[in-house]
Formats: sequence, C-alpha cells, structure tokens
Amino acid sequence: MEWLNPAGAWAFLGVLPVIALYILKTRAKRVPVPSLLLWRKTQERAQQSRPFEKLQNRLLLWLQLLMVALLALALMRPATMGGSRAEAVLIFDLSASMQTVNERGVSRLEEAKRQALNLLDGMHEQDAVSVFTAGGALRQQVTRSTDHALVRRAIEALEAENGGASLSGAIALARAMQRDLPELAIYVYTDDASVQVENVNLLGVGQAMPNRSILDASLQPESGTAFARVTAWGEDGEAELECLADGALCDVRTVRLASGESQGVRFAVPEGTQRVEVRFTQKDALAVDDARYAAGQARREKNALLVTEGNVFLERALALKEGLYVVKASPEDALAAAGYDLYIYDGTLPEALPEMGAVLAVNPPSDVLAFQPGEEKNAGVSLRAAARGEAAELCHNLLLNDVAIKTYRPLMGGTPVLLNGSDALLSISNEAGRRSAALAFDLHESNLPLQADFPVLIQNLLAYLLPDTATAVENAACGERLAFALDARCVSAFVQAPSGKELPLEGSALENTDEIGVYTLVEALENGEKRETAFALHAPASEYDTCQAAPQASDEAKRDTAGGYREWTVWLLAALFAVMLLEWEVSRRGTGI
Amino acid sequence: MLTDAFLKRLDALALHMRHPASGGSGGLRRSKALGSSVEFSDFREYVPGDDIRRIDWNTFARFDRLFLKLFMEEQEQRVNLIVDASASMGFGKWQAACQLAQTLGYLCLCGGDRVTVYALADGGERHTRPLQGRHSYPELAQFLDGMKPSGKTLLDAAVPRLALAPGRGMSVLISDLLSEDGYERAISSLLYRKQEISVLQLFSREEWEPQMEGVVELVDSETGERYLLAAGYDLLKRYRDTARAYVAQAAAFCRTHGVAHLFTVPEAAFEEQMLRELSRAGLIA
Repeated sequence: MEWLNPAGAWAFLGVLPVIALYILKTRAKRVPVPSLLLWRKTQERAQQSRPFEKLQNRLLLWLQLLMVALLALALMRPATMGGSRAEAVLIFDLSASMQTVNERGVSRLEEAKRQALNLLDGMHEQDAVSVFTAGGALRQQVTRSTDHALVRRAIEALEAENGGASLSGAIALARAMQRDLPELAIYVYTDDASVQVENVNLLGVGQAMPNRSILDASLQPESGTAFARVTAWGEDGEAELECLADGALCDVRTVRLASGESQGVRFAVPEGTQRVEVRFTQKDALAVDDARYAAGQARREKNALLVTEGNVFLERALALKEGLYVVKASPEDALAAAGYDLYIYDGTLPEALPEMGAVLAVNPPSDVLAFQPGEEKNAGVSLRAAARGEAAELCHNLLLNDVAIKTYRPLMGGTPVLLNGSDALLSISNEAGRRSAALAFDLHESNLPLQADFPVLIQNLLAYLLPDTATAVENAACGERLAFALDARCVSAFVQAPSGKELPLEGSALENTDEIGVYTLVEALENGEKRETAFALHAPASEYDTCQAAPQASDEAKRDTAGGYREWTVWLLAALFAVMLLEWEVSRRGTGI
Repeated sequence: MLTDAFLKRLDALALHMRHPASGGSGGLRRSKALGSSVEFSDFREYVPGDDIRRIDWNTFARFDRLFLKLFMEEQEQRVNLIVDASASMGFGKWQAACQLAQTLGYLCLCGGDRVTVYALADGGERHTRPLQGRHSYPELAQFLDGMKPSGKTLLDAAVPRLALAPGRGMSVLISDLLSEDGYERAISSLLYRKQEISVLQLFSREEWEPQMEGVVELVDSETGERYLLAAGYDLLKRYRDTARAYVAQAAAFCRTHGVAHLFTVPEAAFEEQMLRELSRAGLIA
C-alpha cells in the first residue's frame, strides 16, 4: 500500500472538531419525563432485537469519526502497486494545429495538458517524469525529475507554436531512454492522425472541427491587385474576407467555400502598396490560418564576374538571366576583383578566392572550395541526374540525352548533380552560407553547350548560386530555420520580426521564426547602404486541416494513463458516501448517544 | 374537589363490587350475612337464644311452630383508595388521579362504605382516617387536594407496608405503575390481604405519545437521573411499542390474578372520560 498524498493525513485532525461538536451536542435540551423506566426498556428491547446495536450508545459519534477517517484516507490517496511503471516521458505536440479550439473554447493543447496533469496526479511522488515538446525544435522541458511540482509548472507553461512539429525526434529520444529503462512509459499527446508508433501510449486530443484557411496571398503592386487562395475544411459556407493595404482596409469580398476545395480571391489594392494582409472577418476553430500577409518585392540586380579566356557558350547562357549584370574579365584582370555576387572561373582559378560571393568553377585546374578535381578521364559518358534533394531540383527539365564529353576530371566533395557512373561531373556545395558549384569538364570539349539542356542547366545553377532573398524564404513557414543568401557586400544583417523585435542572424540563418507576420531582413552593405527585404511567414499549410484529429486514446492507453498504481480513492469516497447515508439514517431514526 | 354538578350526577351511580361485603359493621352493601334489612331471605326454625323479635307469628299461627323470618344483612364495605403520589404522577396525571379517587371515594361514602385514602409519596405514605358517610367527602377531597406528587415511590416496597384495616375489603390502586421495583408484589400483597383490587393505571399524553426531536436529555422526575438520546422516528416508534407492551403486561398480570385493570390516558376534560372508562370497566353502574 502506498500513499500518493501523505499530506492528506492532516485531515485526521478533523476528528477533533467532531469530538468537540459531539461534546457540545451532548449539551442537549433537557426534557423532564415522569420516569426513565420505559426509555431504558426501549433501549434494552432494541439491543435485544438487534445485537449489533450494542454499540449504539455512541453510534453516531463512531459513524462521524469513521467519516473523518475515510475522508482523510481518501485525501491520502492510497494506492497499491500493480506492475507499476516508475518513470514516464510525456511528449507534447506543440504544432500550430494544437491551437484548435473546440465548441467550449478549449484548445487541443489545453486538453492535452489537462490529461497530462491527471496522469501526473495519478503517479507516485517518487516517479520520475520527463517532458519533451515537439514544435519547431525538440526541447526537453524537464528531464527525469521527481519534483512533480516542477513538472506541473512546466506542463502548465507549455504554449503551442505557430509551426509544425516533428514528433519522430522526440519519440526517438524517448525510445533511446526506454532502452536503458524498460519500465519507462511514453505518452504522446498529439492531434496528428498520421502518427502511428508501437509501444507508445498515443493519446489523441481534440476533435474534428470545421475550419477556413487562407492558403496563400500575393501582392502585385504594379497591377494594383492582391490575390488570395482560400479553402474550407469540413463545412461549406460563406466567408467574408477583408484586405488591408499597408494597414488600411481597402477591399472586402465574400466568397462561398466548398469543403475541400480552394478558391482564388482577387482584391484591388492602391498602387504602390508595400504590404497586404488578407484576413477572415469571423473567427473559427483555428486562428493561425485566418490571416495571410504578402509583401511586394522590388527585384534587385546582381553582378557576376566571368573570368575566362573566352567562352561564348557561357556568355550567351548567362545573358539569358534577367537581372544579372555580367562583367567579363581575363584571369589577369580579375586578380583583385571583389564585390560581385557571383564569380565564374572558366578553366582558371585565382591564387586567392574573394572572401564573399558565390563561385562557379568550370573545369577548375585545382581544388576550389569544397571540390577536388581528380585524374583526367576520357571514358565514354552517359550522364544521369541526381535522384534526390536539392541536386535533383537542379536537373529539372534536363533531358541529358546524347551528351558527349571528351575528357573530364571527376569531382570529389560537394553534392553531385550530374554523374557519369559514379563520377561526379557537376557538384554543388553550400558551406557557411557560401554557395558554389563546379563543372568537371571543359565546355569546349563537350557537345553539351550545343544542346537545349545547357541554358536550362545554367539557369538552374544561377538560381541556386544567386538565390533571391525573398524567393529563398518564399515557401518557408513558421518554426523553420531560414538560411538567407546575403548580399556579397553585406557587412552586417539582422531581421526585424513582425512585433518589431530585432532578431540577430546566426551566420546567415535565422532560428527564431515562430511569429506569424511580415519580417524584414535588413542588410548593411559595405558602402553604407541599407537594403531591406520583406518576407512573410505563416503556419505551415499542413496544420490547417482541423478535421483531421488523432483518434482518442484507446482503453489500453487509458488504463496505462491511469498510472501503474491502482488507486483506491474512489472506493474510499464511495464508502464515505455510504457511511454518510448510514449516519443520516441513524440520525433520522434516533438512538441513544 | 369535584363540582357540585358532577357530585349530583354521581348520586345516581354506585360503585360496583364483584364480591359481597363481609366482616364490616352495618352498612348498605349486601353481605353474605343474614340480618335486618328489608330484603327477605329464608325461614328458619327457632332455636333458643334467637331474637324473639324475628319470630314470624303468622307462621306460628298457621303451623303452631316457631319460625324465624330471615332477612339479608347489609354491611359496610371497607374501601382503600391507594393513590400513587410520587413525582412521576405529575405531568397531568395527578389531577386525574385525584378526580378518580374523589369520585370513587364519594360513591363509596354515599354507599355507606368506610373509605380510607392512602397517598404514597416520598418513599412513605400518608392516609386519612377511615371516613364514612357523605359528609366525610370534603375531608377526603381536602386530603387529596392537599397532596402534591413528589419524591420517589417504590410500589412493591410501599404497598405491603400499608396498615390496612384487617379483614376483607376493596382496594383501588391509582398509579402509573412506573415503579423501579415493579408493581407485582404490591398487588400480590393486597390479594394476600383478601382485598378486591382494582388497578387504575394512568399515563399522561406525553408519556403515551411522546413528541420530541433531535438530541435531548431526559431527566427522571423522581430520581433526577439523566438520559441522553437522539430522538427520531424509529426511536419514538420503539418507545411507543414499549409503552403499549408495558401496559399490556400490567393488564395481563391483573387479569391473571383476578384484578380489575383500567388504563386511561387523561384528556383535558377528564370527568366525562372518567365516567365512561369506569362504566366500561364495570366499576360503576
């Protein structure tokens, strides 16, 4: 027998007022009677007919003392061990969808916290508890603590974030702990219906709720329009949208939404509008998708230095890039070049590379950045594109048929994009925010420049090497780590959050992106100029479908949730209620005291 | 004291006794003895020593023999009215007990009986002188009116010690019979002394149907003893059952011993109720 709340023993002091009341109560109203003879006989008869009432003289007092004792025992929360788990890990999904509220206005996270606190209450005070949260990042809020007050505070302080959540990392960490602690129980509180893991108590929270979402918003200041795409989840209906241009209401539209279907809405905005906010006028189950922001971008020109003895193929392909100003220079002239966004070295390399700026090395004679050219090969070529990731994206729309290359020097290092067998012929690298690419052969010794693939490949490479700041984060969502392609002349930069707070960059990356709204990247260039780039971050669209909710906890999980102890409090309270009824009945019938 | 109007009503009534009087001096009660009343009984041949005034001369003229004409002897009855005057007879019972005793005493006095009233109180007894004749009624009434129920009385101890007149008689015990030592020995002792006994048992309304609620401390009127209880429906029901069983037990004891038993719970206007109850019990006619 264990006592989950030994402090409840203080309630035994309740016998004192009962006894005091009894003593006071015994000063009852005096009633003179002719004789006590019949009253005594009455009691004797009762005792003869009911032997158990021999103690009736003090029955009411005993019953009241018994009630106090039962109450005290119930407060002490007796429990018996039953294959108990003495340690638990509580994993909370802090994704944006956990902010979904039900009809009573209770969010899914609040429900999860309530369930977790109930679980905590049912645990023995010596049980160790860990609390992990999965939001934009995995956080260990509490690790193996037996201080349940601390755990309680940590749980109560949890707040849902505006990003997505990857529960797999938290579950993997908990499972790693479970390998050393077989008795460890893992409880996952989530609304993610896709989570299915074994040997984990998956405690689904929340219920399917209809919702409306603004999936996208864009601003075209030159045409004086803004565009939004909206949808409904689970329920058809009308929605009213309003558009604010630079904070001022400029247009209101009503749309009829069918569940599961998206619909575009166009708004008229004043010319020269810098930012728009499109939002629903009525609240629904999830607030984070009820507003969407868009910022207009002035396209910025970029400079590239082409260092070559002469390469018409490359010059023509580079000239196709809109907004790219290419300066051609001989290797001798380019020795002290600096301040370009991109340096293209065709068959040559300077003794020292510029400190900043992207680099494209064509047929590099020696090691450059992350790439090391190998021995020259003149084997037959059968090009193939990389299968996955960013490298695969560079090969979009490339046919790569009948490409012939006389000789090449396979590249070591970086991420292969084009391969000939296992030899990398084109690789890319992104080290410390500096992007670079290397081509392993001389373009003049290949028929690739003569094929339609070549300008496409160069455009793809330029898009990779010279990412537009806004474009780079265009599809980003709250909670994600953002890596900016800073201007090559940038000497310092920071990001201003929607709340106005200045967020420092770590290198060229921003970590704290949980706030929804328009951010501004402020770059200070070496010439003293300040360049601002606005971009908006929103909750990921995967969080919007609130009709999807994780199934409620199974009975087995609920049993486990009740803790490894079998608590007897309920039975004691039932006994207390029964004794109360008995006391009432005895009092009603009357008896000797 | 009873009102004159009520006493006038009593003049038309008489105390009924189951046994003829015997052993007393001349009175109005029929007795087993033959005497000088107007009621003819029998003839008997004269023997020397008989009162020659009783010789029936008409019969002598007809038969030439001396016969005595015998008449019923009317004797007085000795009646003992024993009234329990302990403290428990308060609570509305004492007035009723006095009315009962005065009514019976008046009827006896009017019937030529010799009446002695005994009041048992404070562990002892007080009594009147033997009273006879209607004119003695005020003394009887004053004796009772002068008494107040007090103290503790043990019937079984007190009644056998009463100095009753020797010989047969009638004793009426007016009490609630709530005596710690019981009442059986008291009644038996009266029977032993050849008394025709009537027991008139009185309970007050509060005693018979107690009405109380909650925690109360009962105080015994005789001993001052206290008894704490939580009065409730069940307890009061059990008490009522006990009280009825106690009365039934007394009635059964009396019936077994040939003793008349009358139980009554006096109401506010007791006179009518009293006559009705006494008549139903056959004590008056």
